Amino acid sequence: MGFRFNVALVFIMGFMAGVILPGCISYQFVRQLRGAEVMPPDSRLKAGRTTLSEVLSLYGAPEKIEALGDHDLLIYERTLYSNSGIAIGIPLGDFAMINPEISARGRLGRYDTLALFFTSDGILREMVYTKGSGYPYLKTILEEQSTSEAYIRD
Amino acid sequence: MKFIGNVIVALGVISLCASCAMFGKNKEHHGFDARWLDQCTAGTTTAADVVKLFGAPSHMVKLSNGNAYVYECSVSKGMGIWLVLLSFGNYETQYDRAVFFFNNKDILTHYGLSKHAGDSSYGLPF
Repeated sequence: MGFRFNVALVFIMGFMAGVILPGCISYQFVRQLRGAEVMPPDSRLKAGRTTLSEVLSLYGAPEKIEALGDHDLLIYERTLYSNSGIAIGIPLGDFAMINPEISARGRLGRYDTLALFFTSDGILREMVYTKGSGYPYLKTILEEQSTSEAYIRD
Repeated sequence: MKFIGNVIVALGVISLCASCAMFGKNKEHHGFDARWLDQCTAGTTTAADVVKLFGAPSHMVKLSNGNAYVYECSVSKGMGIWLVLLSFGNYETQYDRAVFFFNNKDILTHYGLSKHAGDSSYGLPF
């Protein structure tokens, strides 16, 4: 009998929570992914030797192509956005026309990027790879940027 | 007493299940077929031939030693779940891309193809 009472109590509390809490506490997490995985450059890519044709057959069509003076840039990129938010409020709108609420939201964009620089003859000149999606979400978004600094190089 | 208990239990379950889910799909369509690439040969195919096969490019880029024509289409799939206190969403976009590089005489020098649009999937964000 005591067991039944406890079950009923749990569901009463669940019902009250279901009715009251959605206006009080909410948490949301949304992930947006754009683009396919970008493989890091391996031993098949060699600056000064690898051709544009070889890169295209290995990596396929790039996401972006840019001309930089006398050389060209191919960019392979995957973008990962993570949005999260938590809100705590008191739903008094029906009684007092106000809904006091405090919320915290954040959006973090992380990029996996492979940038390949080619000469005008289509020979790989330089490559840069960054795996931004490996950064931890909370640590990265909560980390304060260092204060602004200016460097002047003579 | 038992009836009231059942009603309470039913209301509890209903309120805890007061949730909904959403599925959605977007498509940026540019009809090109990877098999058309079989008709392209570096050194002989011209920009006009490519345009005749693939149609107008999605965008063009002026390069240091010619031009690049880019053909692109995408498929996005989204899913959202709203529970009582929690909501989760996932939105994924994948692309099919074909890129053609031409020299200054509009002769095809290189081309590349990526087909990932079919890999776009519904899912949870973790």
